[in-house]
Amino acid sequence: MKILLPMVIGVLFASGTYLILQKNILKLVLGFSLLGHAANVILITSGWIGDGQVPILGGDARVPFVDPIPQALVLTAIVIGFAATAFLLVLALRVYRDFHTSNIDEVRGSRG
Amino acid sequence: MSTVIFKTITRAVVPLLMIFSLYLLLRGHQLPGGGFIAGLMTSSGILLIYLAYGYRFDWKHRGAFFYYLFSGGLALSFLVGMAGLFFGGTFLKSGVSHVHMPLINEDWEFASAAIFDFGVYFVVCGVCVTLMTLLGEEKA
Amino acid sequence: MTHLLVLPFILPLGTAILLLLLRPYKLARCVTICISGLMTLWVNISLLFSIQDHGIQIYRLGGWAPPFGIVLVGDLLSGLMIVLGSIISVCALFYSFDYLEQDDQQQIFHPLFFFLWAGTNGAFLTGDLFNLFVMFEIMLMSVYALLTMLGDKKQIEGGIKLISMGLLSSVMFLTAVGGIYALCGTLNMADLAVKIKPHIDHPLVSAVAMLLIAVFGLKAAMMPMHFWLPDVHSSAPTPISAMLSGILIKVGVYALIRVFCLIFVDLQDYFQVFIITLACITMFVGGMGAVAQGDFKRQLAYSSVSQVGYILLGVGFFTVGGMGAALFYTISHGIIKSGLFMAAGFLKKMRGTTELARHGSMIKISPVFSLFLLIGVAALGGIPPASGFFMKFQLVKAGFEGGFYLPIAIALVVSLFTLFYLFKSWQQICCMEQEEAPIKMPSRNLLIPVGILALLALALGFGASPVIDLTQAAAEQLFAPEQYITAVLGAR
Repeated sequence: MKILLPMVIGVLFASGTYLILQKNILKLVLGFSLLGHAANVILITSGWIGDGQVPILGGDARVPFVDPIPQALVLTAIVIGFAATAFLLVLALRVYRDFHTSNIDEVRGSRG
Repeated sequence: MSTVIFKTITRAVVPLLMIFSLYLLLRGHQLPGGGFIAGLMTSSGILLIYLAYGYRFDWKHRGAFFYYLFSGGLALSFLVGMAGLFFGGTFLKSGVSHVHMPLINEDWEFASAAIFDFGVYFVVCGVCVTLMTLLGEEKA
Repeated sequence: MTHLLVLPFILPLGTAILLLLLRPYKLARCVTICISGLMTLWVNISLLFSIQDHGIQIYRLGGWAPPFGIVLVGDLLSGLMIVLGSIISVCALFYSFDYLEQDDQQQIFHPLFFFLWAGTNGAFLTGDLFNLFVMFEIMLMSVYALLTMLGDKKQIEGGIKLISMGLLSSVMFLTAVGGIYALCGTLNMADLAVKIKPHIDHPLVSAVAMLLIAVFGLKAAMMPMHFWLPDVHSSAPTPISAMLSGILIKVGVYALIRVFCLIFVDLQDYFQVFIITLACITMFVGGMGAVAQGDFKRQLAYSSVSQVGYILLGVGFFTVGGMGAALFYTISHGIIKSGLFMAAGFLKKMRGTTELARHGSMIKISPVFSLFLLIGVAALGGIPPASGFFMKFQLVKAGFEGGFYLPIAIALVVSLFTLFYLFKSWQQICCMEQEEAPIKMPSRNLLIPVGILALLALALGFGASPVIDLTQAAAEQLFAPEQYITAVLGAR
């Protein structure tokens, strides 16, 4: 796990960054949600100790528990990310209806 | 989408989904579960019905229901938070009381945080269904 | 414990929820908006006085003790910022009644506006790093919706830019939170300030500080991250432009001040050159951009970038005088710039555009408007009786005291640009002959908030000294972080 999680974070960040540099607005949506997941995994790892068990009442008191706070934080971050992704999807739909394209470069309004 | 297989499976799955989501909502106070995940599950059940039976989403009538579901849920959660303020504590202070239930002879725990969770459940249900139907509207 | 500290957050939040429920009843909505808008303003002002009298106050949400639960902390900086926020918000609310003509627009606008207000107040008051993130998101989420609400093509473009910026900054914020939590095991800002001391040489700390500069700089439109601001601020509906330029970019500056004066106190010297350099480039780029614009709203937006540079310059001095000057600048600029944006909205209502070349003869059409615009322009340009002179004077004084001669020289040169482009626009709008297009006279009520803000800018100039004293006191409090830490964690 010690090697796997950083690798997962790296892959998520790399693919998210690649996707948000694309012109297609749906790829932008996917890229931002991947980046959000990468940040969430970072938060999870910040409270993670070796072989800790799940922090639920009624566990074995002799085995160390994983820190529950980052998990609560991640839950909040996931909900926020969910809302942002939903908004971005609605915006993508609006772009498609108004401009008949999914190419961000063609979304021009401010400078004619 | 609305093949016979899909319709039949939906009939079997949706009641199970609803019951399981209620179970998740109620156990969420002490164990994994809670309002958010239960709300997602309920709204996915409702969306399965839409997909299989193609209910045209009628914003004027049914939309208002989900609109008031999420605003009412928000108000419920907010009022639970305010209740802490009015009953001598601080904003968002939660209270617990143990009530001895007759007939089944058990102590049941009632926590104000659970009511907060119900509010979250309504918000998530209302928002998800509204959102998905808006996104799925067939309007060019 | 007094509940005054939580009211600035729950009053707008409750109002927003009530407005959602009252959607079909127009009269009830208007009454609710008026009552709770004024009440929030009154609560915020009394909170400022209470902080001034009794020192730093804390409020434990849910009754949990500080390092474990979330606390709201009110010190003079937060008090000043929420008062500024509520003055601008009340004016923008009043403005929105006449600016949005259709009722279904108002049905969406007002609840979201109150969510935005709750988010800004919460961000100013919170004492927890993760809670700051949550408040930012409440704020940004409502701004996303408010910005794209009217559905112009322009607004869609601005919306995509704003939401990309917002999501990128939240990803960076979460990464920073993860890093700092892994190191210190706490997110309470006062507790962090204590626990980070032994680790201050750890490379992760500078990495987190850098990430936080990027996050807050993105929100405050610091130079390499300023690209989104002109499109977003110029395309938003006018009351929202006023809020964005008046208070939302200041939230970024506020968070930067809070983080660097509380948590990363020992890194101040390390990042000073960096912040000052970026601030100088920011004001220069913003000023140059504003000179080149042919659209009044875009010009004002670029001018916001430039003015944020001045504020960051004051912050970057990291002296009591510089910080006090930056705070006075923040307050003064917030009031003037939101007034100017509302004036630009009046122009847009009149001729359907904010392009400078298509405006003119305002001095004949509406002398009152020309007067208000002149006050705003003179104030922002730094002409004496209005507050703009004192904000620049304070900054220059602090710069000389600290020995930062080159940045001050750049600031003075850029302020000449400011004067130039603002007066050029004023002359075009008010004095040039313009007869061609038929004009539609908008409601005179739109001029009331513009007038209030213009008079406030004047009043802030004539009665500058109490406000300057207050900002200096806030700055002194910021440079004595022990007060904040003791107030939150108790004496140790």
